[in-house]
Amino acid sequence: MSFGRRLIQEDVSFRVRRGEIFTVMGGSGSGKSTLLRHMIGLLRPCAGRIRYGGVDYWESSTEQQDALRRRFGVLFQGGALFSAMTLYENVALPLQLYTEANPVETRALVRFKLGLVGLRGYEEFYPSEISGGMRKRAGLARALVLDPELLFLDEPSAGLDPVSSRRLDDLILQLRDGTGASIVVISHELPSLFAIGDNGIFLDGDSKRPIAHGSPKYLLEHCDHPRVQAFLRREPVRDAGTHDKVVQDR
Amino acid sequence: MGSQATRLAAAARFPPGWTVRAETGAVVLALSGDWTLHSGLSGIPQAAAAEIELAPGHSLRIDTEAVTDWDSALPAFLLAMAERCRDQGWILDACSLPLNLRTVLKMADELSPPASARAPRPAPLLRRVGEHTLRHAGSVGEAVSLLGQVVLACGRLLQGKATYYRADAWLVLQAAGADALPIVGLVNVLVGAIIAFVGSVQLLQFGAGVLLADGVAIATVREMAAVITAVVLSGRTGAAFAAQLATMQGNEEIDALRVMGVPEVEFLVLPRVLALAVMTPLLYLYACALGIFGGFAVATGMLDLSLTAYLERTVGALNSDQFLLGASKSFVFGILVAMCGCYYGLRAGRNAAAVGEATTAAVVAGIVGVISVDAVFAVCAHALGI
Repeated sequence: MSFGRRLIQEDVSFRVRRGEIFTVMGGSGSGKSTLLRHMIGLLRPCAGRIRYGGVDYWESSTEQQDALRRRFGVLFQGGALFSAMTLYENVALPLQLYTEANPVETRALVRFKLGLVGLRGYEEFYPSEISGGMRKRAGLARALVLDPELLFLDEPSAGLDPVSSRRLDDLILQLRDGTGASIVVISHELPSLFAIGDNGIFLDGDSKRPIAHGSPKYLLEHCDHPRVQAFLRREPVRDAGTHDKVVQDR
Repeated sequence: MGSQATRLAAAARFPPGWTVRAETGAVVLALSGDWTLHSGLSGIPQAAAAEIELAPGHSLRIDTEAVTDWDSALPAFLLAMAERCRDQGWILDACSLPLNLRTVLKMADELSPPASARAPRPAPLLRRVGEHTLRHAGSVGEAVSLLGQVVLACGRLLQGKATYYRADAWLVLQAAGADALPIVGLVNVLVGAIIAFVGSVQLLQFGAGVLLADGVAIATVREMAAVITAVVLSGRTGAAFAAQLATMQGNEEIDALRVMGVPEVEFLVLPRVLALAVMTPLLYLYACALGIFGGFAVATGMLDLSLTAYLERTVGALNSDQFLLGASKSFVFGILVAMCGCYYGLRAGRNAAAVGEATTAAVVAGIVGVISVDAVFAVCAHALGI
């Protein structure tokens, strides 16, 4: 995959199983968000295939792509709520577009989803009237409203306080257990990665390829790549070059 | 929710249903079939809810044993029932629900904060009118104070004490001046040509075709070149100023400047106002030349006027007072347009939508301001006999 003519990552290959929480790890600028854009059908990868249950997304017809996308739920980094609509209208929109739910049921469903993310009572607020963390949770409610089989979360806990972040992790785990949905989480929040990740991939910005596969906990114990260890332990990178430099500085 | 694999099947395998059964001191609502978004549930939950009649203090038990498949539609319904139970003083007996359903329900019900925070309701009309008026009155004050700050900053600049970024100032000067040449030129050629075209049709009826050159020259130099240039600059440069400053505001760049002790008026507003104050009169002169050229092109095409005759009449019709009038108008228009752009840019909100709002407001205010000031100039020029 590349951004314009600049190569971002190559040889990215992984498989997300049903009911799994798959984490995409990596430092800033390593291509996590670009990978997400490939996966949710916003950006065509310059080489390779992305398959959903055997169906190649980018080789499918437009109708097939639409049908596939309807099974996704995506939480964007900033929530991506429609600013001209209230939270209620934002969450209700997918229901109005794709289901036959009548107004009373729509109301019940929207209240339920907003309740799941702890935002009941905020139906009539506009996105500009609530905080960033609340916008994010409302975005999650919108992503969840059609009970997606595959949920993509872009930096779900970034910008949240520790308590909300913890609650969001619990919610993600419970959603997975309750629905059996697969969840792909793009994140560099360590506590949250360790709490929820069943499997994962580590994208490295320097070598421009994934350097480790496995759950964050597994990588912490078993992966001895210095950059992976540095990331997961929040330590400076200890490869030969920097180490020498540190010694010299002393 | 239930098994996901079956849920996307086109038709429900078991149609949803319900029965209400009365027991001593309790009512049992037994649900059956597929309770999913795609199983044709529409209307059934309300019908079930409407059937329940209970005395306060009695309990409602919900039995989901016969439910074959479910998704969010079921907990959404149960949540609504739970709320109704609370309102009516009934006891909801959730013990018989499966564990995962109970967990989801509990999450949605308990973790929400009390719905104390309500979105503000629209205020009554009179109050809104009043608030609007006060806000506008206040914004006049703000605009005047910004003008004052610019004048003070100008004084500091003359003393050599103003803080600004030279490269940025040059860039603004270039964007406001040289980069505007093509569009200002095109619009003024066309306006000159239109004046000549409309004028020639009228003048030819009186056999006064030779006067066309006078008409085009006076109209262009006194009014059109200055006004049209200012309007183009308002849409182009004024809007750009507003967008730049509003983006900086949203990005906290202006806060960063203040924290560094740099007055934003000197750093951002002054270069922009001065750039347009200098460039607009120059663009006006350029616009005059091109407007007259546009008129000339049409005049020689439609009437048999020679180049020398046209030029002679043009020069005869104009005098330095008219240029002075046009140039001084342009100077004021330039300041006005730049002030509108900077004013709306600086007072923009901090969200993404604010940039668009600031830009629109700056352009509207710029154009309305230019036309209004032009009217004042027309009255003054008449009084002075120019």
